[in-house]
Amino acid sequence: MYILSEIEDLIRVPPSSFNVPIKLSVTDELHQKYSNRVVGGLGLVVAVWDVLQLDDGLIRPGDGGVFVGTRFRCIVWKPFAGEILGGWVLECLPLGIKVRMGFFDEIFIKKEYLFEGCEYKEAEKAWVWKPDADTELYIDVNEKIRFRVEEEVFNDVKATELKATDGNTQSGNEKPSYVIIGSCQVEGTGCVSWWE
Amino acid sequence: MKVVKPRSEFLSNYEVLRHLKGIQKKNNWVFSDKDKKESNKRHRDFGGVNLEMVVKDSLQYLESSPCGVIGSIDSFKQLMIFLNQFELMKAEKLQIVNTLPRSMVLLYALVEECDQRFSEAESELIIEKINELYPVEEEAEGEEDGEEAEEAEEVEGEDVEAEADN
Repeated sequence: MYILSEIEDLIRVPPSSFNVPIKLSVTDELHQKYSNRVVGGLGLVVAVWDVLQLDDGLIRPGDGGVFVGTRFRCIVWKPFAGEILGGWVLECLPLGIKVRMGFFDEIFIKKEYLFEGCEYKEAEKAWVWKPDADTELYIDVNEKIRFRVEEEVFNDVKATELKATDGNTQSGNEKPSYVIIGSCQVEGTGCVSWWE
Repeated sequence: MKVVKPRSEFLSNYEVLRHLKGIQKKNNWVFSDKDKKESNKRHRDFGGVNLEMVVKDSLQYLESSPCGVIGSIDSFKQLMIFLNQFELMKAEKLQIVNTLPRSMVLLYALVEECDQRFSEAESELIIEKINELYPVEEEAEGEEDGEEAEEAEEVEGEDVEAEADN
């Protein structure tokens, strides 16, 4: 679910943007700094919603830019525990299921959090749920899946620097900065097609 | 950077969808062939690549999610006013408007202890209202079209045979 968060920050507006109205140039700079980034303890920042306050610009010796203190609200994606979300299965692993939502792909459903009677089939690389002896329900890759949010985990990638969530800037073994742990244990969760 | 209020307001997916569409329009971003026809103005990217990427991916998700069918603010308001008569938590209401449940199972998953707090008739009312405001049409139409096409083919086939006989 999305929330609005209020943040205060000092933003540098470069001289090249001096011809643009200040609100617009500050919004652009804020987007550069915050969009698609995880703020520790907060969530994934999507975009600026509105700018509430703009202080007078300050200059520093030896710098052509102007520093503007600003208070703004931004859209933050932050699911809460107990929320039901929809996504697509990215990968089935012996440890659980990875789910993607397009704009956010660090979602993991641990095997302990799957329905009782779920089995991992090595041959098909898929999870199978057996609600009773005769039925076998497969969870295949790319299938639409609903899950319940259990917890969110923030990893401090670099304490001083905000980290982009896109794959380009991350090397393979680095931990993602924000992970959602999900579960499929209540009725209505699991593959969407099961419940229709 | 200082976070003043971590959670100053809740937003529904529909509001986010509208806001992001606004950003897309302002910057003349082209994400699909449909957008291409509508705008041929210059692409603006002062907000950075990250903004464009997150707006694109989020829009894709939101439009394919149930709230993509919400056509106007009016119908959204109607739904909210309707939901206000029930004793639902704010988060539960949000989840209902985000997910638009059309089955009891899903509604029960969204609303905690739904069976104890609401009677079956009340739960059905919610689902009925959603179906009334946002009817599901696409699948039914698709099937009908398919059948018609098949019938048309059969008729043509007969005609050809009849001509051959003559």
